[in-house]
Amino acid sequence: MNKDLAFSILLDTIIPPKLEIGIKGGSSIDLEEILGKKEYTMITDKFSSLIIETANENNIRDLELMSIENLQKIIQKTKIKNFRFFNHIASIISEFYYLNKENRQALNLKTLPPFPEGNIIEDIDLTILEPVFNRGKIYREP
Amino acid sequence: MQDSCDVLIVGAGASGAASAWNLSKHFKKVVCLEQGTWTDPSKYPSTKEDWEFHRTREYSPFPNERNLPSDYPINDQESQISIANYNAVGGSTILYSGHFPRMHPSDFSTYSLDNVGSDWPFQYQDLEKYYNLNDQMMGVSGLEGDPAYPEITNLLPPIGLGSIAEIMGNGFNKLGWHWWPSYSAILTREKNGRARCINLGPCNSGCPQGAKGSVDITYWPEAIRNGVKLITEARVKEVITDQNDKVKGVVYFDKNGKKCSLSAMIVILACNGVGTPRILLNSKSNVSDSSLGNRSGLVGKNLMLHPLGFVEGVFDRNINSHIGPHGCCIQSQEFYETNLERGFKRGFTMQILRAPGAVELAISGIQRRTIPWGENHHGSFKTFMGSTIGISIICEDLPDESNQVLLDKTLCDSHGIPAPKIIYKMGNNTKKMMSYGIDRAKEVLTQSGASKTYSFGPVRKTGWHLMGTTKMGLDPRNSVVNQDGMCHDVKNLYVVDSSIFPTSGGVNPTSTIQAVSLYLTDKIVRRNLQT
Repeated sequence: MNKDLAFSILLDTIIPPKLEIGIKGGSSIDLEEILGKKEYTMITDKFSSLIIETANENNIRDLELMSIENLQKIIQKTKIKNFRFFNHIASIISEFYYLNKENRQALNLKTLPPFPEGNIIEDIDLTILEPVFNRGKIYREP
Repeated sequence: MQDSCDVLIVGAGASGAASAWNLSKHFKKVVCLEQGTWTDPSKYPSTKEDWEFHRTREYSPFPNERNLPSDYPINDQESQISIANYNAVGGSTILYSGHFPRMHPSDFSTYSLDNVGSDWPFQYQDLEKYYNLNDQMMGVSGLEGDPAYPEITNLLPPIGLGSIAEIMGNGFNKLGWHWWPSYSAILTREKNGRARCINLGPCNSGCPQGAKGSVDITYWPEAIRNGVKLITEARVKEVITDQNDKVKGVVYFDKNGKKCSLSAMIVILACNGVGTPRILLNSKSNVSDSSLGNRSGLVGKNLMLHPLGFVEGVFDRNINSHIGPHGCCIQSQEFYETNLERGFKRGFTMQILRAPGAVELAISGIQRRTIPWGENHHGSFKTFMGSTIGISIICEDLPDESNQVLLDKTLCDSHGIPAPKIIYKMGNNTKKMMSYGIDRAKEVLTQSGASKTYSFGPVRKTGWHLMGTTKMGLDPRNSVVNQDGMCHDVKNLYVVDSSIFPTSGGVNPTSTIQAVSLYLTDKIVRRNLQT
């Protein structure tokens, strides 16, 4: 497997697809397009080097020869040792996944805020404040 | 000096705008220099589907994230709390939530009452008419009869409270605790050509509707009609004085980067608790070895930030809690006044917050591990979306000289002016207060029906309220400005922003910042018209 495929498996490990109900996974987001080639390459290079480092410890020498199942296990092990880096990737994919219009529609999330129509918020019965009012003054005078 | 004016104001935010408007009625030539420019409400993120993208970039409250030409960098690596601001006509009111409580009468006498901080040289009663005037200028909604305050009248009807106010109100009532609809600088009826709130929600990235009272649409149009000259993209480098340290004017960089000077009979700094000490520390005194106005050694010291604790309650059903003005719903001041049995002095406000949007929820959920990676990701996300209520604990911060604004030795802005460096650590009293407040917030959320609560504090990215760094007082040995806001050491140099606050109170400060600036500029008028 090449490093781009490995990275897309990571993204689907973070946000997995649920294709049976039309929900795509994290790999549906084109991070290379969003982040630009330079930043994307920096992240994927670091990811693959960390993965290979962990794989070596488990006597797996080459990313190309790794199965998806093995990679997922290796990702979990690598994540524990490199929490901040993986948290950073998870934050990036979360942001762009939930900004994506198609994903929002699939998840039944409105593309808020509805300008200029606005939202309706119902008034409440203010007699609920009677016990607060009846307690009387609670502030201190100097 | 190439140009001159009667009054020169530095900064066009909450205090600068109120000052400019007030002085424009009495002085012929009032000029304001603002390092930012006008914002365009039609471009605010709330008008866009990807509003959550923009609010963490060009509309981020953190200058180090925005990096706009109007911004100066702030080194806050040695601070527990990151510094927030917004540099534009309107200042931080462009991005504030509009939560608009007043300080309490006791806040002006903390030393007399509780033997902490310092008493202010004036009282709540002295400010009351200015609070009222400011409410009318900004457009403030709320509900009369709040037992946490002396009588406040002439409010617009409260903003839509919705189910979360009802849920939390019942919880507070079960505990017998105070709560009340928030005072909000948000219109619930049309006023002066401004439209009413339509509950778009993310007030903290600008209000395209114009319902939120930001000073670019409240004070500034009137001030400009009265003749105030507002010069944008003008960054002040230093205040200059004569051989006796009487103010002469300022040196600034104009929008083309050209170094200019402007002379004035009176100079007023209105640049917030970081910007104002930065200018003073960058200015030279002609009569002492210290920086300008700093014979007390207190310029930049006593920085107070309102450390914030946050508790989130998760409810077992969708309560649409993500809809509506984010920061304005209800507040509780049950624990505002000192009760020594709690183990600390002074107190805090609980501000009930609506829930975040989808992107913020997903990111914070992933980071906090409440929304997991993998199979349960979408299910957990759904559990949280629209089903949470937040409570922020706004703690009164006590003054401490070791918390301070300095000049960074190497970091400069785009004009080469030394940038501020922040050193800030939360004090013991505040730590105890926050811990107590977090426990009380969990208690009321549980009483209100939350099935789970999550708490954090101090939250790092919450340095909105910047106070105390040019302390006001009667004694020049332990304060920077006098009871009129004038520097003890520099005749006719005034400070009218939150840096003069001797103590911080436990509420969002904008209402008090503006009331104080109206009060002080009335004094400037009286003093100068008499002489």
